[in-house]
Amino acid sequence: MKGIARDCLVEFMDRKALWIFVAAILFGIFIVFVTRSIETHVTIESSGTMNLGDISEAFGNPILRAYNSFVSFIVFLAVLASVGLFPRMLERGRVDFYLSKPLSRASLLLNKLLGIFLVYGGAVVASGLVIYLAIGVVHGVFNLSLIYLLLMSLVSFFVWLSITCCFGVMSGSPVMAIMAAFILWAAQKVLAAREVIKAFLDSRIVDYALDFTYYVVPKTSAISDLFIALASGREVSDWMPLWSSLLTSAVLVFVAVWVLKRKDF
Amino acid sequence: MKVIEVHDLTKIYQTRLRKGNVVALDGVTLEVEQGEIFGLLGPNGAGKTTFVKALLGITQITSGTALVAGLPPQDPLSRSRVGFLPENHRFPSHLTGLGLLEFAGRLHKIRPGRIHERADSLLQLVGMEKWAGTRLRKYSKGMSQRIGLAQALMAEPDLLLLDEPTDGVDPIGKVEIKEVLKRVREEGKTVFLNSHLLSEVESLADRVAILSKGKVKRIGTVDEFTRRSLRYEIEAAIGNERIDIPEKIGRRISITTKGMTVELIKEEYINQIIDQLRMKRVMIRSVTPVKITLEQSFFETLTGAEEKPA
Repeated sequence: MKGIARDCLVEFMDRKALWIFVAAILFGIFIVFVTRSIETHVTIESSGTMNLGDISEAFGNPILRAYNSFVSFIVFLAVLASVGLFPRMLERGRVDFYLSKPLSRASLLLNKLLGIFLVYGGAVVASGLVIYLAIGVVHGVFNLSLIYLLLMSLVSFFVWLSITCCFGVMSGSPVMAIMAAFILWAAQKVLAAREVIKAFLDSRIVDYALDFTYYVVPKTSAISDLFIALASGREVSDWMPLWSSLLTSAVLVFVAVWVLKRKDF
Repeated sequence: MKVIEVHDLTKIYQTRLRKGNVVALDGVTLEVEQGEIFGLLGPNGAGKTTFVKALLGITQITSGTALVAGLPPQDPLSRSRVGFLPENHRFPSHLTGLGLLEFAGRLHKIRPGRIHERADSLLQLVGMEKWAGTRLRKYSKGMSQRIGLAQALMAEPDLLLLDEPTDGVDPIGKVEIKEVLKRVREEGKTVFLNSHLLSEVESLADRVAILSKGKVKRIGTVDEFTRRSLRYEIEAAIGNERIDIPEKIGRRISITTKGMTVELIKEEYINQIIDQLRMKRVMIRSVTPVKITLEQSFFETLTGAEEKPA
């Protein structure tokens, strides 16, 4: 396990993926500084009657939203940066190296998945933490509930990783893997508005099909909303987007292992 | 002890469009003993690489059985004491030479201290210590082969499977690789060699098999391959003397004023030929069993052709 995880880290450093995250962090810090001047303006308008705590409370929700957007963007970068790793491992000539070693195909794939998750997920969390600190220092908002969004980023990254893993193993192509991820992303957006679609199409079969597809397709946007609610201190009544997405991810990983076990190289 | 046991091994690749299946291996049966260097020869597309991949479980077997160190290829433990150098390999290019050896060691679950010792000695063995810190993507083909051989030796394997090991290696490198393989054999390890370079196999291998269109055409020791059965070269001052070889004892392959080559039905008939020459007062300088190169034997096995009698 340690061997493959360490290899993922070496590959991460060699591919200069680190710089993508550094660039995103710098951009995030820049935005944090830009928004600082807006706050200063509000303080002047309030004629000094509001303290820093009041300001952070008044702006808590926008900061939460902005932070969520940043973390989602970082997850998107992590997915893009890692999408080619599975097909690359299975390239002709390279896969022989891995498969000639005394480890099963299932453990090879699962270790690779875990290694990528730890390394790229770690980069996502580290980026999120840096921006969290920047927000704290610049805006004086050290809101621990923002950490919920880091947890959300890890769940979301795992869901996308399982998708790129499954389609990457099945097709052997990073392009196909990213296309599949994009199609599923678009599908979840469309399915989120399924009630509107149902209203237009008066068919029970279509209703069932839409509901079924909605439950099957990973719902990272809904997961994001769910964690925003948690971070805002609101109660979450429906955990379905989280567990159904994780269930779908587990199925996708299982399918990837099943396909890899049967593949000829 | 048998390190490789393969019985009636068949591999059929099913094409995606179902236009027809490709039979890569067709009932291959062979065994390789511990401590021998075994050469697998064959033209392109004969199934040599598929055979090695089937032994390692890289490609799935359609039917038949294969055992490596007594275990089926599906069992990862069968690969725990096996080193493999693939043909046209593309090792992870983000690694350095040393990094590749360390990674291979970790995948073989060698303890960390031993990995470093082993990597250092192997880098020295294949003459790559100067390039240990260079990324693999900057390696030439010859350097890649050397480091590939080193990673195959990382786990101190009992069986070394090499697919075209000297491909792209310069002549000095080839000699060095041969020396390494001889040393591996001296340690009692088994080497399974896939190669197009017949002279290389001839100088290294104890036994050889020729594979063609997925079938084993011939198998035997290098001596059996290179020795013409009951064919002798007689060096003698024949001049213009007429030497007749009766059909019942054999045939004459060629004749010059300085000697002739004959092929006999039984070994003892050579005495009749010698008697005939002595009766005719022909000075006999030598009588030698004819040997051919493995290359000649290879072509004859594949084409069924042989030299025609004179």
